[in-house]
Amino acid sequence: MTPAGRPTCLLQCVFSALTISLVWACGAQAEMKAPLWVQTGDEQLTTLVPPEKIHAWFEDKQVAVRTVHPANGNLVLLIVLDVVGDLTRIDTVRAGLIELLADFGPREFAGILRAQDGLQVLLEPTSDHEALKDTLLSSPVSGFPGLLDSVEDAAAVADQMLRQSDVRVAVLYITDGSIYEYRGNYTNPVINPSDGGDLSRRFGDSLIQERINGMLQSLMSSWAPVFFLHLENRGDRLNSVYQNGLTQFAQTTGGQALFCDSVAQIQPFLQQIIERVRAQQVITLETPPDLEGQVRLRLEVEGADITYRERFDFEKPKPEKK
Amino acid sequence: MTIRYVCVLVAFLLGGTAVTHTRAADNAATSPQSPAAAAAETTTSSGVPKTAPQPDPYVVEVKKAIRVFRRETERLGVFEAGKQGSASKQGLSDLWHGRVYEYVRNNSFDAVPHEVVQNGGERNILRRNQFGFSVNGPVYVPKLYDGRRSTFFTFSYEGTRQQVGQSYLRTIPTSGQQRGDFSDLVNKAGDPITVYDPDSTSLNPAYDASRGVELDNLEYMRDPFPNNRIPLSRFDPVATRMAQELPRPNTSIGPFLQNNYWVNPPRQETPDGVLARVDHNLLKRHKLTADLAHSKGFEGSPRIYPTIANPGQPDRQFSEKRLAVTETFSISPQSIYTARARVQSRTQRTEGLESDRDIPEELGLNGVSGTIFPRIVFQDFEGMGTPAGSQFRNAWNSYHTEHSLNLKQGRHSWTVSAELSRYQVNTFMPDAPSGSFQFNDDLTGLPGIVNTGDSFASFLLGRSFRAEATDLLQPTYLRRTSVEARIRDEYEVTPRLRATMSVNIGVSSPRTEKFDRQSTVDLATINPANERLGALVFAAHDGEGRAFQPHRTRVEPRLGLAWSPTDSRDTVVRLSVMQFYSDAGISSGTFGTQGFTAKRTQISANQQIDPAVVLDEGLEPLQHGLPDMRPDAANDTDPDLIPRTGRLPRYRYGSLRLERQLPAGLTVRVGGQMYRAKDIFLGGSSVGINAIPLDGLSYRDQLNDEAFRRTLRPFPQFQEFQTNGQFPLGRYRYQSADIGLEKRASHGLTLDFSYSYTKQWDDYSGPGVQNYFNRDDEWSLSRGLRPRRISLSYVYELPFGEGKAMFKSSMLKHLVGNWSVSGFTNWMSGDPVALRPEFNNTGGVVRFLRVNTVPGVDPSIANPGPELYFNPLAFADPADFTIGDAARTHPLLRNPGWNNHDLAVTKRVPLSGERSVELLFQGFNFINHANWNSPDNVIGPENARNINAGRIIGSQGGRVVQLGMRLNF
Repeated sequence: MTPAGRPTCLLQCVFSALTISLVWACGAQAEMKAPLWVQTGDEQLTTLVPPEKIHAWFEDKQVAVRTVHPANGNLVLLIVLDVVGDLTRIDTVRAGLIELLADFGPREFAGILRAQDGLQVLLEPTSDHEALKDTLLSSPVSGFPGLLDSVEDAAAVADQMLRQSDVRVAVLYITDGSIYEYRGNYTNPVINPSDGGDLSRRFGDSLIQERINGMLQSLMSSWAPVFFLHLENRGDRLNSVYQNGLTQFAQTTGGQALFCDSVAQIQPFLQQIIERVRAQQVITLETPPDLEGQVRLRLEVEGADITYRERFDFEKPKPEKK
Repeated sequence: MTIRYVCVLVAFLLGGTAVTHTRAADNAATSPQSPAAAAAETTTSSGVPKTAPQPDPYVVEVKKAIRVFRRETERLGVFEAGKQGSASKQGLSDLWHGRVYEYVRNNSFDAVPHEVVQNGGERNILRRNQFGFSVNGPVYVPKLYDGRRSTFFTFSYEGTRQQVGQSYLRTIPTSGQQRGDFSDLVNKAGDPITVYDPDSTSLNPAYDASRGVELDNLEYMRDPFPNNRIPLSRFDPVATRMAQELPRPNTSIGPFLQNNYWVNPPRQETPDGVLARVDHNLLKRHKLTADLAHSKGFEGSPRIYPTIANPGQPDRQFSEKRLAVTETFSISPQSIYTARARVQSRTQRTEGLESDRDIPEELGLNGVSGTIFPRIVFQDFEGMGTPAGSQFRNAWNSYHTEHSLNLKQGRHSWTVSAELSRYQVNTFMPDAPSGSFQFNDDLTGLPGIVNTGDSFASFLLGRSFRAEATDLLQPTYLRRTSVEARIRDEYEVTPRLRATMSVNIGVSSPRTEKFDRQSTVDLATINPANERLGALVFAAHDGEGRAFQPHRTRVEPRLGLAWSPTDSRDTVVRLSVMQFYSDAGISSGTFGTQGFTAKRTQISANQQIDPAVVLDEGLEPLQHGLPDMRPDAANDTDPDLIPRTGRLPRYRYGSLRLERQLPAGLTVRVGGQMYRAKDIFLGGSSVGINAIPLDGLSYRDQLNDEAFRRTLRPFPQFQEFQTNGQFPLGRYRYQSADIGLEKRASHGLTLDFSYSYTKQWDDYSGPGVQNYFNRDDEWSLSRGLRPRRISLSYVYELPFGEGKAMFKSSMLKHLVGNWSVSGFTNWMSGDPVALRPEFNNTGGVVRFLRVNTVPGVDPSIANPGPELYFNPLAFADPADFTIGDAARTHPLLRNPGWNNHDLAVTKRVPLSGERSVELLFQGFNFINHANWNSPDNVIGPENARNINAGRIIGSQGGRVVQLGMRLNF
């Protein structure tokens, strides 16, 4: 490049940078991503659906589908281990995960995190099956359940990955926690056993409900689906409410929650979830500028049955670290 | 979108290839097969030309995603395992979470309870404030200690200040009766009752001993008091002073003069308590946890009488402490070791125990001294003085250490654990420190004739047929140790079938006393007083060990199977069978310390003729000082018997359940279970070791002679044995089937429904046993067991406000949004009716007499209601000196069912961050439903049937409202 050409080149670079910034600023304001599962008959469709075959509405306003990221594209699955109890169940899920992750292709990555004492990274997203296997086999099993204290952070990380890169992202919580084992006293334990007139604990689920309702608000603003595999379905009142909350988290984010009544269910349920994670397609939608608050999404795909996340929050700030 | 692509085009023209590269990477990353094909296959609806593939563009996007992952995890303080996180930007408000709350109840919010309305009351005082807070988070002291990844705490406090009215409907002597005027006295049929002068008792020379005692064949004759009035001059002076502490009747519910005293006194409670926990991660694989709980306070019991003769429980101070330290060591991902040490302490003491007053002395009652009013028990009236054993100073302590190892090995998952426990009970609990005096109708009636005389008249004359007093010099310090080991294996037989096998082995020591101040009647030792078997023996004396029972060993096998019959594994069938035992505890009180404790017992020689004690004369003083270690020291009392057997209650259990997950978030559960139990610990009225065989009834009126009657007892030197509820004798059988349906949240609604049908039979529950010598004859439906139960719980998020179906964007959304409704509905059918005769004229042979059934008369009626719930004419009191032939509990008749509906409405107001305020409106029995009381179960003799039999008096319940506010942060 000649010296005379430098100012022009410099100007071009500055202008390009400003333009790119403008492009991304406009893009960030004007588009969003949503998970989508396409089914024809009994079969999950993993190949590309052309955008023009997908019709989308926010509330009653039709919007354009910009791109479709098909089910066999890049995938990053964040597996969060929240296991503190029965080694039989945990070992079963470890073996199941190792088997299923071994089927991951070179473009399917998995990272492993742990939910105890705050979210921690055991292994960054990788497609190295041996590293995944080693990490799973050596992951510790102790402490207090941490799902309620970490799921917003995990969803926020996945959300930013989905927003800022062109990969499909999902979070999978493997948990066996009971609501009674949390540090946070969500079960409102009796403090004065002699207080015979205490009716405040008759509705013992209200603390759990409050926590779940609060978290639903923040999870609504995350774009990435969150899946839950609970290794031990518990039927008592408070755990039912807690497990219902996990179902609501999954429904809110477009994920899925399954609860194992027996050890025999762990492997097939895990497989069901992983298959659904891998079958996820991500569509990029143009969003009208006046969208705010919680908005309902309606999608139709010509000639196919679909399931998708129905509600998004366009206003709520991203959750901050607690 | 158009603007964006115009910008892209301008940038392309001016900025070269940068933008192109970005789009290429975007497109490449969406490729389904290879990076090259990906770029070729990805399309856009805008028709922007596809660009040439870049080498490994998907890797670019994944790397970008990983960079975002790193950046975001760091921003949120997520850290890599083994490294300290960088959460330094967080303040305490971000780190610590919890809540502050207050619940309020006040009678002005509530419906007046039905029982209060029915008794003419207008309010039921209720003042309750329950307040507290809870906070949890990491331990973090800036510049001193940063435990944000290693040390965590939870601390909760709660206090309550409560004053709540409690309703009592009782029968007390009328004002006239309290003055000696019994002209208004009637029986349950409404016929007058005559009170006779016991001082006029004389033998009837015309008595025909070959016939039973009847009105026309009296053995003893007595003169009635003129006009059925006892002259004041005949009143016992001590009884006169005691009677001044009786309140006057204040209502007339009936029938006749029954249910004439109703009060609604407040109960006070002021507990304060804390829960605390600290846990610390140590050396990566260790976790230490310490839990502490402490609660203490005061419980002011309701005053049924506003005098020192109050028959309710005394006020109490209580305290409870628990401390547990747990260490968890993750040896490897397949093995975890846990060690735990726990200490628990609970103390209770009644107020006034240390008072300087000597109330018996104030009353002029000789032979006893104490700080409380003597216990006075009437046959048909509410008594006076606190119940036996209600004055105490007790402490229960326990120490436990537990170790367990969890190990996963191939298809086996092993758990091996062991626990050592040490229990202590320090107790000072005299049964009747100021004396206990019982009064019957017989001493002022015609001997042998029911529906004559009155127990309060006997009291006014000071004539008690049985009196007791407890002399207790020092507390008792009871100790017990137990060791338990357990091995459990969960084995994967096939991927669809799992078997869980476990064996518990427990060994527990019998109770000992720190200073060996224990005793029991030994049924194999000769009593020197009569050379018969049965004498008192003492721990660590005369060859006895420190305990009277052997060490008990329990071997408890369990087997469980879980089978998934379908490929989808959405169905689970579970089978569980086990055998287990319940261990014997060490309870508080003076049981098993006779000789170190004296039970002075005075029994009437003939409770129709002679008083055991005349109040003005007082109780006889203690004949032998304590300790009194004579083998016959327990003679003529109800002695304590510690069963010298190693038998423990044994339970066999089996269950079969099916669980199936259905579409739409539904889960259905169906199952059945069964228990068989034997050697259930029994006591009191259910055990008759020294009972008189029923063929003794043939002696009829001779049985009223105590000297004769005791000759019929297996151990004539004693009265009834006390076993403290620890005699292994009872049996029961339990069967139930249930179905449950659970619906997980959808459209804001969560439901849980269950129905169960249960049957249980036993040979001991209810009012008592009629025939101790044929327990098969006692086998009947368990009293108190409600066979059918339905429960429904629900949570519904109202569909209003942002993100909901209605009012989602209106100005009202903040007002109408975030409301939820939750509730419980419980319905239970009634438990079996247990009938009893009004009179038990069996000469003390049968303690709990049943009724007779009348052949051919249907006990059920067409429309049962409060006016008549069952047909009392289907039953009759047995004739004198015979037993009843009806079952202990009726096989068909059921008491009224019970149902309750609770509802909570909650409004959540989100604040900034994780803060929110909740407003709680809770209604208990919110539809103000009244549950009927049980019908009157007393039948009455043929010539004077209980006019109220089969009828229901009143109902209970009332809506209670609680308001609450909770700030969550």
